[in-house]
Amino acid sequence: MFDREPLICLMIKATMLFLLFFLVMSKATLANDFQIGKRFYEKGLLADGTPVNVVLQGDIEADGYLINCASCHRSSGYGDGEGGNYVPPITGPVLFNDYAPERQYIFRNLYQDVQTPTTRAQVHGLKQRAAYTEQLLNRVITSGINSDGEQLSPQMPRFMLDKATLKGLTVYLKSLGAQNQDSLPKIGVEPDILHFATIFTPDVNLAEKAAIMAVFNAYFKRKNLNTIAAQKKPNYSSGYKSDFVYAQRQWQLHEWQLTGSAEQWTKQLAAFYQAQPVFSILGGKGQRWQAIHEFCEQRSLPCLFPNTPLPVTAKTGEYTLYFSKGLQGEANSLATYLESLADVSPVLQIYRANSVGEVAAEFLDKRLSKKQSPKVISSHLIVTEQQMLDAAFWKPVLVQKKTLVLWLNRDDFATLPSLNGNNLKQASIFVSASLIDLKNKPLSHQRYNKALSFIWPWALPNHEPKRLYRARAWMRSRGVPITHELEQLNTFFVLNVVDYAMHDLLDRFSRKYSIEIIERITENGLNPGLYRTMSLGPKQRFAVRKNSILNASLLMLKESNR
Amino acid sequence: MVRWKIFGYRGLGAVYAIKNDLAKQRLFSVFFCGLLFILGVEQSLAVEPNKPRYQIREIQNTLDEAFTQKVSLIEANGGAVQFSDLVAGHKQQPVIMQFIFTSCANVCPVMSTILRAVQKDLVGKAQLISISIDPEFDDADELQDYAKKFDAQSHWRFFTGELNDIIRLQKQVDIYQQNKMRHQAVTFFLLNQRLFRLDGLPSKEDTLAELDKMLEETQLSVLSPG
Ligand code: HEC
Repeated sequence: MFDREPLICLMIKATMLFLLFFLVMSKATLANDFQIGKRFYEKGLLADGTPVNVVLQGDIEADGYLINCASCHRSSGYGDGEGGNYVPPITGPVLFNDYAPERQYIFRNLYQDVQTPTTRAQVHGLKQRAAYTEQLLNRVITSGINSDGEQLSPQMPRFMLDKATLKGLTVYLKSLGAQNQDSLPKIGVEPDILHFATIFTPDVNLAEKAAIMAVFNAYFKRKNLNTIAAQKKPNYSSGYKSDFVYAQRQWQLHEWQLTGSAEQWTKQLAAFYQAQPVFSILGGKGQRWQAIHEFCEQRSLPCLFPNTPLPVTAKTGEYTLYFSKGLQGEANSLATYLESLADVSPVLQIYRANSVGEVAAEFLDKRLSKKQSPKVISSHLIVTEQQMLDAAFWKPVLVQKKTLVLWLNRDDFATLPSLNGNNLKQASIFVSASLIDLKNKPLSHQRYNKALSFIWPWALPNHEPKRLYRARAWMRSRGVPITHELEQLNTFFVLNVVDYAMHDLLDRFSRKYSIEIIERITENGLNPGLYRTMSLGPKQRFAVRKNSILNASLLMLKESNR
Repeated sequence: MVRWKIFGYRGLGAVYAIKNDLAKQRLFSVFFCGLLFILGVEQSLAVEPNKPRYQIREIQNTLDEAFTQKVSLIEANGGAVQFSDLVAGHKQQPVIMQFIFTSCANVCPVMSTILRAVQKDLVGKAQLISISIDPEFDDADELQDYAKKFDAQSHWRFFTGELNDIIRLQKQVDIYQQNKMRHQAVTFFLLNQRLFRLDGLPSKEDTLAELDKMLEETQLSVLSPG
């Protein structure tokens, strides 16, 4: 063997192998360090899996389950300035470089937020400081002494760290906020252009799509004109505005029309994304959103407020925000209402096979059977996909002594015979107002009957927030025909939210941070007037929480008021 | 783009870097350090003495209005409670009250951790109350999880309710913000017909000491040493 292969070759081979091994191992430990750091940052667990000991405010003991870095500095690492506590950013570039406060990044904290004496002192007291190293990071975390040797306020807790965790944390912090010029285009950010997309699934008809696109187009057009105007005279605009201009870009929208069945969508989405990466997905519409939700979560791609009756509720995502829990929320509200009644006859749920109504019926069953001795019994009447609904279908249904729950679309609902003068046996029929598109298309007067109640996700008629009138006026003044008001106002809301968020984001293109900003501003009066209230918070993913059960007689009132 | 800096240290650093003559560098370095030292001393002299991290004041007028109001709350592990009944006990025993929400990131966990720390010293001596300002998200289940997370004992109770009721309550005690995300760290102390408001985040020792002071002042003697 030795004669055939010179020793030197063997040695070279061995070295190469060793080097390769070393490389792989170091890559692996780096990945491992990253995971340790991430878990510590977000969950407060040390490298050995036990919760870290924390001391708060000088003398209060707690542990990593209660308090961790992400609670205050947030998942993005960009910190938090809201409320009575300013928390500085600790993203890699900020932490491991010399730091000097720059006005545009703390502008909101300086001038716009509600300030307490404490926050005011904190923000105005921000100072330049030297870069951190791993050792200095250790010192600030364990003893609160910063990179310049100054003592931080006790609002920054003290943590007992071990070496392995510190190493992991350093790796992880370096990864936060570390977007550079080369990687930005991969998340849809080019030097002059910011790319967005909107998504339509194949069930959306052309008229709906056109109505939504009209709002997008009008908004983008105006937005881009304003940006051009501001950039033409960067130092002209009064006061602070010029501080922000450098970060502004032209907005470009890409329309991602999906085709075929849901199993094919992931591939299509990947192809769209590869052709043109985008910073986030705005609105859009589709009956089923699961595949899109999963795509967005996998790619850490914000997916903001689609119009869908079936948001993913089982495991809430990080990057997908919804208006509401859709039909699941409706089913829950109905169940709560039915259970609150003194006396309720058994429920008969009517829906078409393989429709979204079928999913809604399952939600209602699931919610009703959560109680140990269910007060409300439910059975199903399933209409096949081909079956025609007509008087012959409804007649036997309407004479049963049952509480009817209709998870039907508009066309099917239209076949329900007039209830006036009918010898109805059941006290009540409940209908999903969203499924029959009641917001866009009121029923003709004679359809309303006291026996009929709607599950109603919107603000009560005549109690809409004032912003409704402004949102409508905006559309009219931009020449947008209001044909599908619900989806159009929802789209207007998404655009407002994103506009505010991008303004706050400036050139800190962290998608996590953009989501945190949206969590914070959704309650700031951006409600387009459709909902009674809208709000989000950290990790909250559904902005509208309540549905009303609205008797048709109330809508009748509204109709006659018109 | 105009960069706004509070001090120009970085500018001096740049000058320093250009001097590549070693002797000059050393000299400059000594000079620079000296300068920094002087600046540092000057600065530390200029710094105000350690500011307290919280302020306390007595709220004069709202007490009756706020605490006789008919506001229904729902307890995390129980039924409906009238707010006025809930705090009526403060004539015998102090009530410490905070407004929080379970998904709150930065302020509430610290506020609740403070109550978690003092609750052991206050068994049988005070009632602790946390009320959600995000009641449509914080249902009884969410609040129970939150209470468990903070090891709440039986004298620390958690409440949710109707959004409008809770907004009304917040307005009464003057802490309502249009957006719950602007929520601030406030703790209320109710004792013997008086209402105190603490703004900020005190330590455990401070909290107990302040409570003692208030008790002395209001001549409620439940917390007397021992
Ligand atoms: C309870 C809220 C809170 C938690 C939890 C928290 N911090 Fe902080 N942190 C702060 C505040 C507030 C400051 C600013 C203090 C000051 O300026 O005096 C700060 C400052 C810092 C600084 C100094 C930044 C600078 O520019 O000098 C670092 C580094 C830091 N935190 C890292 C961490 C890490 C790592 C964790 C988790 C182990 C953590 N923090 C957890 C609130 C928090």
